[in-house]
Amino acid sequence: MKNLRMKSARAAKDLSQDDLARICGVSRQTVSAIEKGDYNPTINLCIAICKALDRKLDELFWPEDE
Amino acid sequence: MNIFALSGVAVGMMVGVIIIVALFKFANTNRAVKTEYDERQLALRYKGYRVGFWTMLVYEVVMIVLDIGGIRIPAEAFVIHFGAVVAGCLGLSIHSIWNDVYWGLNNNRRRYLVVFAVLFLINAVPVVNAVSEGTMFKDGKLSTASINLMVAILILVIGAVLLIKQLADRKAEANED
Repeated sequence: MKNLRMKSARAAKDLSQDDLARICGVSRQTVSAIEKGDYNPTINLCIAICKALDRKLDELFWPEDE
Repeated sequence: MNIFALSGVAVGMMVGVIIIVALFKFANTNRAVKTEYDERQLALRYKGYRVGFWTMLVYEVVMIVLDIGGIRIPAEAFVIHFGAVVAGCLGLSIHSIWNDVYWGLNNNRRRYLVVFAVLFLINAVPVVNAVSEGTMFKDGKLSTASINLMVAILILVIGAVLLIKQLADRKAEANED
C-alpha cells in the first residue's frame, strides 16, 4: 500500500526524496520504496523520517481506517 | 607447485589486496574501505548472498556431474574452481543491481566506474598477451590468463546489467510521469 501521507508530508517540507534520504541516512531508493509501499521500514527509520518531517508516528505510519 | 611459486602467489595476492584497498578508499566518499548500506539494502543484500550461494552450488554440482560422467573440461582445476567464485559474484551482483542495492551510501559511482575500467584493463592486458603469444592454453588446458578473462567478462557483465537497469528505471520513471 502506497504511503501517500509520507509523500505529501515530504512535499509540504519542500524536500526531495534525495534530501530526505540524506537527512535519514538512507538511500533515495529506500525512501522511494517506502513511499511506494514496497518496503516496511524498521521503527528506528520510521522515527528518523518522522523527526525529519516534523510529524508523529501515527500521522505517517499508522494504517488509515478503512 | 614449489615453495617459490607458492611464495610468488602469496606475494601477488597481498599486492592485489593492497591495490584493492587503495582503490576502494579512492572510490568511497568518506575514504572508508567498507561500503555502507541502509537497512533495506542490507536486507536485500542478504538475499543476494543467498542467490550467490545457490549459483555457486549449482555450478559446482554441474562440474561434479560432468567429472563423474567423464566429460573433461579443457581447463586447469584452479580455473574451474575460480569459475565458481565468478558465478557466485555474478549471482550476488545481478541480484543487487536489479534490486537497487548495488551502490552503497558512501560509494562515488563515477569513481567506481573508473575503478572498474582500471580493473578491466588490468585483466584485459594479460588476456591479449596470452592470445597473441598463444599461451591461453597450456597442455591443452585453459591456464592462468583465463582467470583474467573471467574477471574481465564479470566486469563487462556487471557494466551491461547496470546499464540495462538504468534504462529500465528511466523508462519506469517516464511512465510514472
